[in-house]
Amino acid sequence: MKTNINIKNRVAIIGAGMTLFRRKLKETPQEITFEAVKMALESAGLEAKDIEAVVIGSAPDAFDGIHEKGEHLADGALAYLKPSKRVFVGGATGVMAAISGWWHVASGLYDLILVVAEEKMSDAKPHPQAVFLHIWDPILEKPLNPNLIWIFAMEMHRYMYKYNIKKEDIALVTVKNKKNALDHPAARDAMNLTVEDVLNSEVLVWPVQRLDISSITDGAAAIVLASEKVARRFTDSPVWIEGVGWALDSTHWTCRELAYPLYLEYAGNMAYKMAGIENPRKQLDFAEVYDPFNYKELHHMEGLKLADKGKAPELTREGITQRDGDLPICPSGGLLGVGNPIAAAGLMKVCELFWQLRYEAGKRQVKIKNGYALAQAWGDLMQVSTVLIAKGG
Amino acid sequence: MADVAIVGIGCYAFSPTTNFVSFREGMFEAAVRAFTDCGIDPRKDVDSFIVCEEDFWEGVSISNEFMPDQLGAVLKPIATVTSESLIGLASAYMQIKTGAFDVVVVESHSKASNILTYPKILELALDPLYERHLNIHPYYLASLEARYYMNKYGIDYSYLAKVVEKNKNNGLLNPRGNFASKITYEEIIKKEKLFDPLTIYDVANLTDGFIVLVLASKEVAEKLDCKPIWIKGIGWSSESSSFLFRDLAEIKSAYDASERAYKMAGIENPRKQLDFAEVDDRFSYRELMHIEALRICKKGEAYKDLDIGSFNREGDFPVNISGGYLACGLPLDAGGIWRVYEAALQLRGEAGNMQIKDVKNAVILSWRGINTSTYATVVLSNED
Repeated sequence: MKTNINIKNRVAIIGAGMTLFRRKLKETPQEITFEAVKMALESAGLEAKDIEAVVIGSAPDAFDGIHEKGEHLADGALAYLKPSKRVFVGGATGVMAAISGWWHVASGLYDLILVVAEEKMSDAKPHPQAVFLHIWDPILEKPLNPNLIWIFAMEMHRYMYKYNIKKEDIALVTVKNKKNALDHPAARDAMNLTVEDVLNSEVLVWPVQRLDISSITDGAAAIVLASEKVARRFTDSPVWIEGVGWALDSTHWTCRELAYPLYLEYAGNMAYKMAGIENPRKQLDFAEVYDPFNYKELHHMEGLKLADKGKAPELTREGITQRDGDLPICPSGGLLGVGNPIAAAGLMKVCELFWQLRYEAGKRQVKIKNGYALAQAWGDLMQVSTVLIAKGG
Repeated sequence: MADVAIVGIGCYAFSPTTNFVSFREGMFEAAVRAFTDCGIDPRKDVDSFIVCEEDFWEGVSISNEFMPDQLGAVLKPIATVTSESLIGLASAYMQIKTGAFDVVVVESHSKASNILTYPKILELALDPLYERHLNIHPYYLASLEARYYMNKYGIDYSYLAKVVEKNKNNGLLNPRGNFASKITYEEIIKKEKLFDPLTIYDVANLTDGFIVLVLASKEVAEKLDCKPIWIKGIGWSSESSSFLFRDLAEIKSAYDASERAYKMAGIENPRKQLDFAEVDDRFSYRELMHIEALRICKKGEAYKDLDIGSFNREGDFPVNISGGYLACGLPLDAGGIWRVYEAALQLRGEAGNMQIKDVKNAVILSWRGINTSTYATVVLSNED
């Protein structure tokens, strides 16, 4: 694997946009896609005709009941007579779409790319969770009738058990992120909660309680990427993609140590190496880690070497991950606060990097010292992580 | 000077049913063959993997989950591109061009034999608001297109039958010619219509098949003990996915995809600069349309060249020497890279009984099927 010095063409994010994240949006998937695309293009000062290729990210086709949904969404992404494709790596899709956009431009083939991630999942009947009945090995796992909350409960339990972590500390993540989201204009689940509220919420599958998890949401996010050659024509403050990384672990999660996301360590290392980051804890100004469940924020902080194994709860307790702390985590409010339209949520985190690094995050603004920030998404059978490191200025 | 090559190829179980392997085992077998072909160890030498699969073909939501182990990709960068496999190939190409990756593996497969309700799944690809209510077998859209194309250019059905005859007979020389036969066009034109004007012979059957390709940068390709097939140009494009918003006889995005590939490859006169083509022929009439989209002939005139034998194996521009989907079966989205496999065998001089002499440059046009207007074109050469 090469390092950044071999990448011939630098890539910048020059525009971003996202729809409201809401439940049961009335627009069609194509319309939701179009809304985000429109906003991203406006933010970059571009028109649809300026875009040379499109990358679409969207999670299970079964949510929309549309086979080959990348083809369907391409219309909403204004990909008429243009190269377009869809990438799909489960929950990690949002950041994977951005990474795929990156390789379109870094290859030298394209100068202006549109990346859009969309999810319309709240319409799935009887409940979107039912789609996750079919993600299992049909012979070895499905007969047990597992669902996502079930296995994430196992992972959460293993993590708590191995490192002796209490629910009180995990609940702090929900409190922080939902509070952060009060300042996010698109947020669905922003609210002021206490640790007690979280601990008193309905038990779904122990140790997972209702307020430990993000909600079923619809929405879309989009970014515009530009090559170094053209970026400065459109903006004075391009946000450079300095590193990308991704890794997928074995399908057999039953044979893996769930207390630590090893695949994230690999993905993180790949991105850190590319970006030339040797001490992420010190060099990153903030990180948008994937938080579909509150314990995942802690889990991912550790996999990304932002905290030692089992120590992320301490950093949270000490306020280090607050917006005014030393290493803000999920200043956007994350999935817990903004909502979780699967693919769009990951790309929303990349949008947050864009806005924060350009000092456009309003009340959410964190201090920018070195200019480096990280977005991460996670998915499949607790298997895959995608990481993107950006630099402002 | 091309700087990305296909250095290893593997194809396994290209057969209508494969009840002796699961899809993961089939992928493993194809991967082992591709890695052995170029002498690489996926755990050490491969930088990235691209797989092309769709949930509804696989029968699992999030098919990406089931990909890594059998390819040697555990804890490595692997991503699912849910598009036609030639677009997966394009993704691997782009990754190598970034300079960050030297060796990228591309995989796609079909386990169509597992699918119980194929037409129903295709129906799910139709627009839920404007098209699905038609409640038709999606192949009726092909009959609409065929009629429109034939009427527009005054093409008699017998020419479609000649495409079928050519490909099915070509397929007799192909070990993967599952549906090859000595059929004549006289027999075909007598057959009753299935999706008028298409008979059952004009519509490709489905097949299983597992394909793995290994791509490498020039630097690595020159060090490996292999016969590199250089990617000179690649392009892909789509119009609307809804047939309501397209001119059915025009297939604009097929022309667009080909233009993009030709521009990159410096092809100005395709008929002169290329030696043969592998094009999507899942419906017989489509072979003619696709040959025209590649600018091998003027629009609406491919049937004339077909008639005088130009596209035969012995003709001046052979098309679908492999027998195409009509003779071998359609391996769903793996079709694109399966054609690359067949073309690579030709360009490497390893096509056995199918071998055409002195071939240097080839073009492949893939299509993603009747519910789409997505095409990808790639120009390959055994000279860099």
